[in-house]
Amino acid sequence: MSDNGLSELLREQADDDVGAVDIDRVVTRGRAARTRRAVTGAGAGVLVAALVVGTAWGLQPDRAVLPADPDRSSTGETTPSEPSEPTDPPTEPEHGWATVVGQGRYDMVPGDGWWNSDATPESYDDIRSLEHPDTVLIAGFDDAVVEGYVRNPESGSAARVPAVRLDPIPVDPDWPDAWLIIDAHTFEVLDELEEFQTSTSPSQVFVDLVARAAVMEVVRADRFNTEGVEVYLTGDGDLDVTFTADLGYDEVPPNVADTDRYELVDIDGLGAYQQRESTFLTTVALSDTGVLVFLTVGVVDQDAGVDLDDERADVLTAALLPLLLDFDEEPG
Amino acid sequence: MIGVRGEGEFREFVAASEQRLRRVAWVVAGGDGHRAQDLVQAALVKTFVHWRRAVETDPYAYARRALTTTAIDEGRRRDRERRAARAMRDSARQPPGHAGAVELRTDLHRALAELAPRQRAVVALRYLEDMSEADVADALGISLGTVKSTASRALPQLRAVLQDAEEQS
Repeated sequence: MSDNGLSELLREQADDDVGAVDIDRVVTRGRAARTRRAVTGAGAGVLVAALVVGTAWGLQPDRAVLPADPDRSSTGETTPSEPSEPTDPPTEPEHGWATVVGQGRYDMVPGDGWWNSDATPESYDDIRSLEHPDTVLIAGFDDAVVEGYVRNPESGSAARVPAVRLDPIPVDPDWPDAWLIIDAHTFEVLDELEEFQTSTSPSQVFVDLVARAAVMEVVRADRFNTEGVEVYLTGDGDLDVTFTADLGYDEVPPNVADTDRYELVDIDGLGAYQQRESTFLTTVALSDTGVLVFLTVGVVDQDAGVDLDDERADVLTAALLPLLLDFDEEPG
Repeated sequence: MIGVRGEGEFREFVAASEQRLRRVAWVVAGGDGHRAQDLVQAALVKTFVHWRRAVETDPYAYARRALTTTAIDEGRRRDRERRAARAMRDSARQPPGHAGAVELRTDLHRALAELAPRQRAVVALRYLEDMSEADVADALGISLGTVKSTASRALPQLRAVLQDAEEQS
């Protein structure tokens, strides 16, 4: 068959097979996406606000609660909320929202960047508020926070927070199954944070991951209890990977070898499997307690023609993977 | 939000470009008409969202890039295509009883489904969009060598299946 014949055949079959799109539906979805994107564009600030507030009120892992916004409405119109009882009376910060008062300790004062959904990127132009993040939120579709992780500012350790205790946050609708931890793409924060990173406390890891996540724009992390036998990635068959053997460092699970999508790698001594694509890098690793971690870093705006920065993806993965593997189980 | 004028322009763009996008989508979707329709719709939504950016360059190229990028990245994360390919292959082994056109369609689906997502994208851009290898490389963000090697692996596979179908018919 000639190439011309092939082209013609493909066109004919395509014309027979593919129905027309509903332009009104496209426009409606596009409008909604733009509206949500406008909100999501402030995602970094919204998240930062949550981080700041979470710290300000002395959240501990086993009782961490992000402040609810009772004025949030279905239309997205909100008014700034009043916080619940603070542990310390707010004082005027010396440097924006955050004031370092000692190694691993700091006070925060909620300001205009309160947790709400009508904020704009301009509402959160003080990137210094990113200096001391203590909460990482993982969000799914429909703005639902699936789970969160809160670092104890005293101990530096991080723990999981039940989703029911967390408020919704905006997420990018272009990622219907995205589990968004950080959406800080409106901020150029890396340089600022690199200057800041002088602490040697365990929390430095957290700062590192947030800083780099901000640059990477999206991190997706899924954790599964595996019992060491079989593991499935949820969703509609995505990554339908079945590990029938331990993720032994020297042994490639049969299905992985079969699908040829993961490559065995050494990440600072950790054995893991990776799938590297143009806009994301997925890493799979198994913890000592039988929890499988799927970690994906990637770019939000996949249609913008921006490819993943492989080096940054590697750095972020190396920083985040041990943290995810070491997370405590959900507190009772 | 794009204004009324922008929305009108967008609708005109869709009317003028939809068929081409549907064809590309069908190939990159491995001959799955429903998924192709979803891909076109998703690509157009993204183009609508970024309409200002799209019109600054080439809206069609923008939409096509959104389509192929989505398809490639999604496709690589999905096993279902592989399963579908197997199912089609199994189906194709059934005793003949269909008309030639149906067999040809089945063979074409099977051939496409057995290609990797990037291979399908290269085929679509080279043989539906009549793009040069260099343009394909640019559109997919891959090297010229990758385009050449990808096409060299994909096309014989596709041609062979189709040639068999022709001979049998």
